[in-house]
Amino acid sequence: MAGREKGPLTEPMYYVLMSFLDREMCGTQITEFVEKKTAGRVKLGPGTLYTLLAKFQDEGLIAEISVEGRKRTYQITDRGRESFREELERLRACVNDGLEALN
Amino acid sequence: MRHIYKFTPVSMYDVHGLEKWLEKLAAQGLFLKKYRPLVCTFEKGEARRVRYRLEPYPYSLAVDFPDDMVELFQECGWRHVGEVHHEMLIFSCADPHAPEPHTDPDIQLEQWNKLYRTARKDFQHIGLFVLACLAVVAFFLFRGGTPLTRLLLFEVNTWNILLVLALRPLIELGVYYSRMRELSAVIRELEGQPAKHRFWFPSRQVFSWAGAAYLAFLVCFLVILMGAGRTLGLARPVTEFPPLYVTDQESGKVIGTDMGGWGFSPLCWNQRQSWDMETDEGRLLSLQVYWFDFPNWLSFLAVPAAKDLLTDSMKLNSRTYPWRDREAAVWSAQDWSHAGADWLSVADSENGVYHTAAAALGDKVVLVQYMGSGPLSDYLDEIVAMVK
Repeated sequence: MAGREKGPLTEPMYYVLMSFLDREMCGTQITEFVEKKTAGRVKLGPGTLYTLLAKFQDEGLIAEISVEGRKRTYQITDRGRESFREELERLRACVNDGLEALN
Repeated sequence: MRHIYKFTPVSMYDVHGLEKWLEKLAAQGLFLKKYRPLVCTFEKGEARRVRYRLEPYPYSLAVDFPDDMVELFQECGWRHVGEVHHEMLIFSCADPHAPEPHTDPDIQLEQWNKLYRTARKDFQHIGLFVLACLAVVAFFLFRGGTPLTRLLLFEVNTWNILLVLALRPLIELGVYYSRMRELSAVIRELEGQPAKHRFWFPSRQVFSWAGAAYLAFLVCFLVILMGAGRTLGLARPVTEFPPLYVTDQESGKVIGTDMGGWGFSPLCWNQRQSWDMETDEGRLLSLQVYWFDFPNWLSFLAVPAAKDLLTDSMKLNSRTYPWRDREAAVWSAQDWSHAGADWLSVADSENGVYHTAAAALGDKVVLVQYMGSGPLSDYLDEIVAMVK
């Protein structure tokens, strides 16, 4: 299945998509995950997170699975996993290229 | 809770200005309760530092309101406190540790760019609409007569339509331009150009106020003109018409005299005398008098108006039956200005059916449209008497 067609993921996009790999997540859980994973380097404001979630939903990378009161939970789709894998490969290639050039 | 009302000193699309103004008032203990373009409502409370942020989210119907966005903001400590024109949501946050709504400037820029593109498209559309309106206004004003004649013979409703068509879209154009320009400023700021520091908020909403003033003007205009035409007595009572019974010379059934204002026009009274129409057999008699009483300061318009009215009358394209004909008549006109008026002219159609005269004296004008066999030039004294 083809992954994301709109170019590489930005850093916030990358970490938001990563947050869904293990389990479904809601808004605050995503924010906490990203902040913890990046040791506070990447922060997610609600405006940024909302736009990313809407964008990922439009592109079919994640899907809303439940709404309980104010809590909306999403999970990653196969297409989302594929996109993440492609991005990981791209980043790995970038790192390898960089290391090669350095050595 | 005590409510305080304050004039909104900044335009609704002056995003930075609006945020700073709300923050300044929060520091004085006034917290936004309801946003309106002209007057905002605030609740009084304990003064504290509160951040206000506008988030672009255009939606047209209430069902499209982004509840999920509001919920997500709320989870992150941002409270929804209002909307701006169904295009932006206002959020506030009293927690100094809560992150800014946008932590990725590229994504934020993308959102504002979307709104800017919508604003630019709307401006282009309203520009085209203004051109179309001006074309319609020009058509109404120049169709079948000079603009002065058209305005004199128009009813107030038509004047109103013209004002709506000509003025309102121009104000709208200003509003849309201002919106586009201010959104463009937001984008420039997000792209890294520093915002202007403000000690105060002088950017008054010129076009919003112009819109409100325009509506007030329109209401006053209608009230005054309708009142003037009907009850305020700016136009003289119709009983002051001197008698002009040309149709007395005609044999036939006299139906009577019908007098009244012309539509709601404050300047013009119309008198139809002695109708006798048997159209199937071709017998058609009528006499109509249009009497215009200008305010003194407009008396310089009387002679040009009389000339325009006569020219227009000879086109036989009146909306009022029977002064209209499918085929234009050939006319011969004679100037009788020496008969006691500033200007007086009588015109007769070559087929002998239509006769029309117009006279001006001081601030009064009269137009006579007569269908019958008697020549109007026999009644010059009566016509002049009507403008004295």
